[in-house]
Amino acid sequence: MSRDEKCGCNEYNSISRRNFVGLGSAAFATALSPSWLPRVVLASADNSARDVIVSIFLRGGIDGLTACVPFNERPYYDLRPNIAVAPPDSGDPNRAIALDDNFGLPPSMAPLTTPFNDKDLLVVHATGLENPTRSHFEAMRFMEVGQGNAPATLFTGWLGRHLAATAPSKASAVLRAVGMGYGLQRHLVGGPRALPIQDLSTFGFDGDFHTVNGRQKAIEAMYAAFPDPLSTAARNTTQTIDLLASIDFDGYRPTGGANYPEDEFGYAMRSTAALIKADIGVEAVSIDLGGWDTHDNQGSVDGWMSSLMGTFAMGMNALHRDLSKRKNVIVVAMSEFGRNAFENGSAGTDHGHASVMFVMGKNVAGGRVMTDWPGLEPEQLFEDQDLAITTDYRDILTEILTKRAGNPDFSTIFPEVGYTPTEHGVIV
Amino acid sequence: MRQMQASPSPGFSGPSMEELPRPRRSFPRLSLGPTVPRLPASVRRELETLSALGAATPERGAMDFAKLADVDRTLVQRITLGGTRANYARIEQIGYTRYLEEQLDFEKLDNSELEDSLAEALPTLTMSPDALFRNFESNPFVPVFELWAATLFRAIYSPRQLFERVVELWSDHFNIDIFADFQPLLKPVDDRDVIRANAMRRFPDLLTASAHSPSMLVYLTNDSNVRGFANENYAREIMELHTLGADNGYTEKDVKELARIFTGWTWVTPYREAGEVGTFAFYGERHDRARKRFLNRDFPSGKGVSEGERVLKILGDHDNTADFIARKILIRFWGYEPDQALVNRVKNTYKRAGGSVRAMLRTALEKQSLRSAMPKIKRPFHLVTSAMRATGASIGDPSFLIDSLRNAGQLPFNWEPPDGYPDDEAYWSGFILPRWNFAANAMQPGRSPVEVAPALASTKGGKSAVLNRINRFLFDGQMSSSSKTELRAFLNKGRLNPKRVREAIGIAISAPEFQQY
Repeated sequence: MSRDEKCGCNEYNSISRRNFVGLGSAAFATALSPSWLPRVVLASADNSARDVIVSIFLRGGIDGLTACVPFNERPYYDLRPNIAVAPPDSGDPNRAIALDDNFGLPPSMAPLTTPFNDKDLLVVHATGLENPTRSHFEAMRFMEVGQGNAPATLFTGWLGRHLAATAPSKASAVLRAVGMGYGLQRHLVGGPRALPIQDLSTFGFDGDFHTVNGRQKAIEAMYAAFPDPLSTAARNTTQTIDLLASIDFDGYRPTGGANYPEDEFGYAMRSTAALIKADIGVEAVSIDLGGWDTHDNQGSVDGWMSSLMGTFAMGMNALHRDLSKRKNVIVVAMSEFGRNAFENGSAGTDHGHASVMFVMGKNVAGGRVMTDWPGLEPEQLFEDQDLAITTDYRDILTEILTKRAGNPDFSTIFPEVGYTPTEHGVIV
Repeated sequence: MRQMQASPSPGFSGPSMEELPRPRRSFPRLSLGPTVPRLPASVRRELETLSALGAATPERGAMDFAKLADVDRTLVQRITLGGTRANYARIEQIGYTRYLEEQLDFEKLDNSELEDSLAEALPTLTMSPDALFRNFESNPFVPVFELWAATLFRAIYSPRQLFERVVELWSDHFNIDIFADFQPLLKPVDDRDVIRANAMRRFPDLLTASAHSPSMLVYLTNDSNVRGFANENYAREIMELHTLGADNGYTEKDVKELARIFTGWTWVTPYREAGEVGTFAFYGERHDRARKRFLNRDFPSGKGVSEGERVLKILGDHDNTADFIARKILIRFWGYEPDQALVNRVKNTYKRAGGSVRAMLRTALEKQSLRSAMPKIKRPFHLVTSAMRATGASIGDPSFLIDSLRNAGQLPFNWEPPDGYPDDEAYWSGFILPRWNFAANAMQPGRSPVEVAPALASTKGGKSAVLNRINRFLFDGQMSSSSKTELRAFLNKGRLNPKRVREAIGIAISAPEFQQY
């Protein structure tokens, strides 16, 4: 049991159980304690001007009209006789929780009211990708490479290009971005020192303990002169092994009363908090939360989607509590599209257009639902069936990157000809 | 709703359905818990016998050191799940064209011993859908595990290597997540009766079989697509992912019309009386009888199931389908970025030969075009099978391999969205640590169920001989000089004993050139 003396934090309650790994790493040597056991160097709350970006992709197309309910819209209830969320002033036990005079959260998203009331959570409504595709995969590709309407020709991702265009926030950072998962999220592709990692706590070399250093060294050297992308991936991997071995993720204790949901998403959010607090120069984390493709029996208040929204909201709430002392984190959650304004025949919704985004952080102009509301009357619907888009998703990301992530030039991030961002006041 | 009822079953330690990941819906990745359950001992013994059989194969007729033209070696690597010494010897013996034809003519390659052993060890492989529901509705992990085991053993030991590669391609193309609703009992049938039965036939046959597959119809929620309450999920994906390609020659209106055409296409659920459970059904009373217009063609009212059959014909004959499938085959077998001229050649074959998969492969794998093919990265499944094949391994318990695949992110039949596991360098090249760890664990002395061929495991002849054997078995003599240097340095670090040889093999499996094919 060791505690970092410098900050007195008790967030990591023991030395890493893998502390034998990678003792030879120069990158890590500075962090070694006199007793040679690696330990985490925890900075006190780092309030630098640049925010760590936590990007959550809600895969499958989240139904924005359930995630943020327009309860004053008559057509909302007409179009969705079976799956609408009741207005806050109704007697329905599953009624919406009002955020303002027009919009509310479904009951399972109640945990979001904490950051919302703290003015740290901004809900953007009627936002998304301008291109009308209703293909999950096309829409995700557009959004992840950062395009809007022209044919998606870019290969690298918006967040990857942002990292490539900005100097590391810590010059010696071994790991600048983590994609939680088995493969790198497309929006991180192109980012220097970006790695997909499924589980931060088990990121180490297996096999016989006695030969691990020799084996690691041989493999490292084999990759050194090999063509990319394998060479870079290997170098990032071996250095990251050394780095993460010094952090005891299993022993990590959240603070601020944070209570992460006990599922994969909660685990990813918890790991993200640990990674940020370890202060090792990570500037971006990508997390996927899937399951939003609710074609049938959607369960807005008591079924599948309800429990999924609960997972999301609890994870957001926990991260908000856990990082309450840190001003330099910004979370943005988005989805490839929303769903039809009307329900389908199976009490679900098919692929639609505009949806919601959530932006959370101390520097966010939160506590409000920001929208240029297009309405749900028949003539207001996009292609006669969906909530229309009035805010380009890139506008939101541009404000985050230029005002909070030290990137003055949006044009390298969203280079599409004809796109000029509109400022909406996302950041305080 | 459509959750299967689960009850604990004695004798098998797999999780019940309740403990399995959440069913249905497109995207969440799932967790299986720390370890995949073990097979019962009786089954394990069968598989051990089988493994021993397979392990002998690479030795048979193997020449000592094939000296091949690069393009011959590329062909072996493209059309197998890992080249063995026997494969390289064979192509050296009979030449490029005959080797390809031998693999294309897969029925003549005798796999009966393998299939008989599998059928005996893994009884769910041959069960009717009805029998699967009767026997395993309360314990659906059994057919899942058996399908995983069979998939691995076929990929590693079947002489029909190209066939297995093609099966892998169509399993991705017509992706179904085995943990979605009912899929533990439905996907094994789809694998057998749709994918394997049609893999080398005409693409339109495969498409038609898939469209009648309960597994597919449930996965893409066409079972809730009924008159007046259309659900467009399957209608959209059959065009976007299975035939025409995304937003490629159809409109939103076409999606909606096609959804109406497919109303009533469903399956016999365990809760319905008529018909055999788990088979295709068309229910006329759920079908939208009004007229439709799809891809600029009129569909007069009341034609029932034949409307959908007509659509399958239209899609199977469509120019965009030929283009989309040609490109997909080339990306899998040739390389990531085939130029349009090459795509057109395969596409023309599709059109000339009625979508014959065999004919398209023959065009895609022409010697001249394969000469310019660039290396691809093995996906984790391919890495695992190629490591087992190259080392002539026998595998006591496939659970280890399944575990390794889960850690590396490619558990078979477990990609949740309908687009299938990616075949994409950017996606797979980042997460390489689990590949190294698979190799380290597989070769960890005393703690691995994997036995490599005795000839490879031997210390005979000293370090140089060991290094040479590793080079021959795993790289057909093509190991890079830098890998050789590192491996020699590792061997020189200590006494040469069987443990060190195994660890050296593990390092060789981790080498960058072994990640490619």
